[in-house]
Formats: sequence, C-alpha cells, structure tokens
Amino acid sequence: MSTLLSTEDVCLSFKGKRVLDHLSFSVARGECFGFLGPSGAGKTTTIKLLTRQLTKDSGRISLFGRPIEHATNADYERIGILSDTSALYERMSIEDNLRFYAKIRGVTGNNIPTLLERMGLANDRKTLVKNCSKGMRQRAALLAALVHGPELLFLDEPTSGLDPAARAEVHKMLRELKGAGVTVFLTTHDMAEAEELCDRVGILNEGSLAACDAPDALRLRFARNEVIVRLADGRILRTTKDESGAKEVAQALASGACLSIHSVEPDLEEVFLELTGREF
Amino acid sequence: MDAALRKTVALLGKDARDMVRNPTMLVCCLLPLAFIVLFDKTMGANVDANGEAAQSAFDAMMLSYALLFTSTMVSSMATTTAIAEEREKSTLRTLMLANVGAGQILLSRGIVALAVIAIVDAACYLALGQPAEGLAAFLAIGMAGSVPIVLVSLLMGLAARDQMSAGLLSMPILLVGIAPMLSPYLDGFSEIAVYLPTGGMNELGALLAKGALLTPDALPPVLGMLAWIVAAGAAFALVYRRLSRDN
Repeated sequence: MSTLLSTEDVCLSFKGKRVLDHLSFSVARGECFGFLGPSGAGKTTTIKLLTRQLTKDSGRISLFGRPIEHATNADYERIGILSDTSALYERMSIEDNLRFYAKIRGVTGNNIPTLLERMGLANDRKTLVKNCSKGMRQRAALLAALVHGPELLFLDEPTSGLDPAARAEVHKMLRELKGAGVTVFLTTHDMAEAEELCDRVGILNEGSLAACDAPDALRLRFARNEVIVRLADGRILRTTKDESGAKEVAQALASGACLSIHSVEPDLEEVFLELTGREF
Repeated sequence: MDAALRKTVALLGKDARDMVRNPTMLVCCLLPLAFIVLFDKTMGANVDANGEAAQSAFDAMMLSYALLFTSTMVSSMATTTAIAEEREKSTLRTLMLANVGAGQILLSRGIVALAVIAIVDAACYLALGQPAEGLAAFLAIGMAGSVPIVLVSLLMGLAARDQMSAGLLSMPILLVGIAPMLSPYLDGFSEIAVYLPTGGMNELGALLAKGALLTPDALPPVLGMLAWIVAAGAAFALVYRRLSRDN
C-alpha cells in the first residue's frame, strides 16, 4: 500500500518546551492509524501539524506524496477533520449545517440523508444545534467532516463524550469508511477503541513515539514471560516460557490433568504502562 | 462555479439567514431608526416655525445623522459581534480548515452588512419624510460610504477573542464612527473628520446635498475612504492568516 501521510524527525516547541520530539511515522492509504497517548502527550498537536494549523520547527511532513509545504488547497479538499475546534452553527439545524458545509466543499449533499440515517440523526435533522446534546453535536460534527467524501480523515477523539450506543454508531461508521478505502488518522485515549478499529497504533509519550505497530504485534511484543496452565483439580500452574516451563507444561499434558494453556498478553493499556510508566 | 465564488455564495446565504434569525442583531439594526425618529420628533418640533431654509438645514442634518448612525451602529454592533461569535465558537476555525479564505469571509460579511445598512438607511430616509426621488442617491452614498467602517468593524471583530471583547472594541468604533456629527460644533474638526472611517461618507452626503458631488471637492473624502478600505482589508487578511496558525 502506498504511503499517504508521513512524518520524519518532526520537532515542535512551545515557549522553549519540546512538545514533539523527533516524531516519525507513516500512514498507508486505506489504513486506520490510531494515535494513542494520555492527555497532553501531543496527539492534538500532531493533528494540527498535519492540517496546517501549526507549523513545525524541523523535520519533514509528507501529505499525498508531497512535502506539506507544497500541499495545495486541492489537497486539503481531500481531507476531512473532526477536532476539538470543529464546530457547527448553533442557530442552524443539523441538516442545514451539513448542507452549508456541502456547499462550501463543492458537493451536492445528496449523501446527507444517508449519512444522517447511518449516524442515527435522521429524526433530529431539523433540530437546531443549540438544542442538541453533546453526543448529537459530536456525531453531527463528524458528519460535517464526512459530507464531501474525504480520502483522508483526521479524527481527534471522535467518541469523547458519547454514550455507548452513539459510540457503537461511530465505530460502525468508521468500519464502513475503512471498508470503502478511506484512510483514517484517529487519536484516542480509549484503548479498547484503538484495538477494535485500528490496523496500527502509535503510542505517543511526552512528544515521542514510544512504539508503533499493529495492536496484536504490540501485545505480543510486550507479552509477559509467563504461561498459565489450568489443571483439572482447579489448580492454576504459572510457569515461564523457557525450557523448565516447557517441562512443567509437558508434564501437565502427559498427566491428562491439563484443562487449558494460556500465554499472558497485555492489552494496549498495559503496553502503554510498560512503555512509559504512565497511567491514562 | 469557481471555488472561491462558490464558497462566498454559501457564506452569504448562511450570514444573511443568521442576521435575520439572531434577535440581538435585529435589535442592533433597528437602533439607528429609533434614534432618527426620536431626534426628528424632539429636535424637529420647532423647525417649521423658522422658515424653509431652517427646515432644509435640519433635513440635511438629519440625513447626515441617519447615514452616520446606521453605518456606525450596524457595523460596530452587529458586524463586529457576528464575526467575534464565529471566532469564539470555533466556526471560524472550521471554515479555515475547509479552505475558506479571508477574502471570502470579508466579502460575505461585508455584503450582508451593506445590505442591512441599505435597508435601515431606506427606512430612516422614509421615516424622515424625504422625497422618493432622492432615495437612490442617498442609498448609494450610504452603502459606498459605509465600506470603510464595515471593514474596520470586521477587523475588530476578528481581532476580538470573544463576543464580550468585541462589545468592548465596538465602543471606540461607535464613537469614532459618529464623530463627524460634531463637525459643525467644533472649529477645525471638519478637516480631520473627513479622514475618519465615516468622514468620507458624511462629506460626500454634504456635497450631494449641495449638488457638488461630481466636483474636485469629492476627491479628498474618496481618497480617505480608499485608504481605509485598503488598510483595513490588508489588516484583516493578516489577522486571518495569523489566526489560522496556533504557533
């Protein structure tokens, strides 16, 4: 798959404090890339760099195969952004907002009824945004980012503040978008969300990329040197992944007392803790 | 359709609807009319008794006040607050991320402001009982002459952090905008007033009343207005560009 977006040794400082430190990663076309980290790690800053809201101090950023400095307005028309600064007009209905952004983006907006339906907002399409709940606003803002059918979607914590049902709607839509070949750059501090949606994740800590790989690969990389064997008499045998452990497991198997054997793999949150020593 | 034109048209529709739907904006737009009716009823009560020349001078003064009140109040209150609200509620940043440029915002907001000014000017003119044949020239002076103060107000609204700050910034605009009213009462002030954002409009209105609009006397106010337009437009573009970056 071709690379749609990449950063190489990108550094950024604010008032003498380094907020991004030699950040390097790439996102392939059609990939859902998760950018994980605690609040203040630099996730939103990275999105701002990639969307021209910030300029880097050094390093290289490439967008659609060309340096970001040479990216044109036409390139940015191929992008959809949902960030903490994405906003809708409060005295307009959800549908009017979407139609407005469709006009701004130069598309007909024929897909708006479908988008509203898919996001569970069809019955609220005439509701003024000022009367919408936070969850409705968030979903409507996501639709506004999608209305022009972008090839690359930047989503900054898209499910923040959503109830479980709305979160499931957003996840479903993101899976559909991924299936349609849309590249998604997703920041979140919800590890379960990242594991569910992302092909690869980058773990950001204090402005540096601590790890970047597929969630399964990260879990395996940080798997503990431990095997758990459940025995028929109810005992649990904890052993190591080495020669002595192999003998213990072989004995359990030979005795016929073995019910199950498990390797111990951390979830992404544990991987993060392992990497950084910080909690979310 | 060209992308810039398409975006301007979309913004224009949105801004026009917002002006109508926002009660605060409507009240701001009705204030000049209320002031003109009040002034006319109170100050004009005894003018009739002083003859035709006095009535004519009073009418000219009231028309000048109508132009100044309308352009200044609509700009400093409604226009400044509207764009400050866009910044405060992040819709401006969302537009920036959708590749909407400073020129498109300026054009859209400016056209809506000038359209409102034209409507309020017409209402003031009719409320003053002036002859219908002079309305077109009055509106032309009112709209063209309001461009500098509208641009200055848009600039102030863009520079304001939120609507509350915009309210504070609108006060000096209001005072400077209506300052040409003081010209008859302060010696030498008229020579300065002509270069204020609304001074050119006031001067052109006076020249129109004297039938001297198309004379060399119109040149200084026109040049003053052009200077304001260029300066405010350039400053708006710079501030807009600055706001699109968080560095």
